[in-house]
Amino acid sequence: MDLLNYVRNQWDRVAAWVFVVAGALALLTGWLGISRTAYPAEQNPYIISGGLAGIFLLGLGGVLWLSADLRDEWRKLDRIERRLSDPDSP
Amino acid sequence: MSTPVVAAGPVPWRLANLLVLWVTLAAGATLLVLAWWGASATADQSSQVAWINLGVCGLIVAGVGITAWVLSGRRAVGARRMLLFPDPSPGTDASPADESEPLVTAAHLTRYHRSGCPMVAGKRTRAASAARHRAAGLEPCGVCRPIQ
Repeated sequence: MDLLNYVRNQWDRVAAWVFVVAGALALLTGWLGISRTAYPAEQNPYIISGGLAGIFLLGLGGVLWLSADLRDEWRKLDRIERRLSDPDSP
Repeated sequence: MSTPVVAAGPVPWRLANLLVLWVTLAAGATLLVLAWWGASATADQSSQVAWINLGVCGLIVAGVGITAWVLSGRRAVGARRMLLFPDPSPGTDASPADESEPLVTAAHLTRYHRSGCPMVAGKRTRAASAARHRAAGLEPCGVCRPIQ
């Protein structure tokens, strides 16, 4: 399948993966930052920029994926409705 | 109880749903950035905990928006599905078809249906008993449920 066409048609699923990967990277970066210092005052900002921001990005990825599923179901209902009103429609 | 309103358009959401999502996500992201900025600017741990709390609040705000978005989408899809395929009332459509009720199928279909099923509306159908349909390898329709 042509990659560009796939990205164009499934932009929300592609974006979901991008956000999930970014969230995982943020969590990893936060863990690395925290583990490199013994001072809690230096660790705390990493909890926010790595931990909380990572969870935020993972949530964004999740909502995009769920939205794509709902959008697909909506289109399927569109097709069923068209078939019910016009059985000869594709 | 209010009747769920089905959104008209290519997606199951309305503009108001999108606005709520954007506002809550923007507020959540802003609170997270503020929290990080505030926690980075001080070495006092008790102050940092307060900033972390602000970040958690941002996460909660974004979570509320995301939950509202997904729920509104699911509700719209469910309402539209109910419009297309209303739940059969107990004792009527859901009851097993009796022997005299014609069960039909059409060319290229893999299921057999009650004659009034919307899945065969407008199709050129042929009637047969459930046993014959089953013998032909067909399964009962999940919408009109001609359970035998």
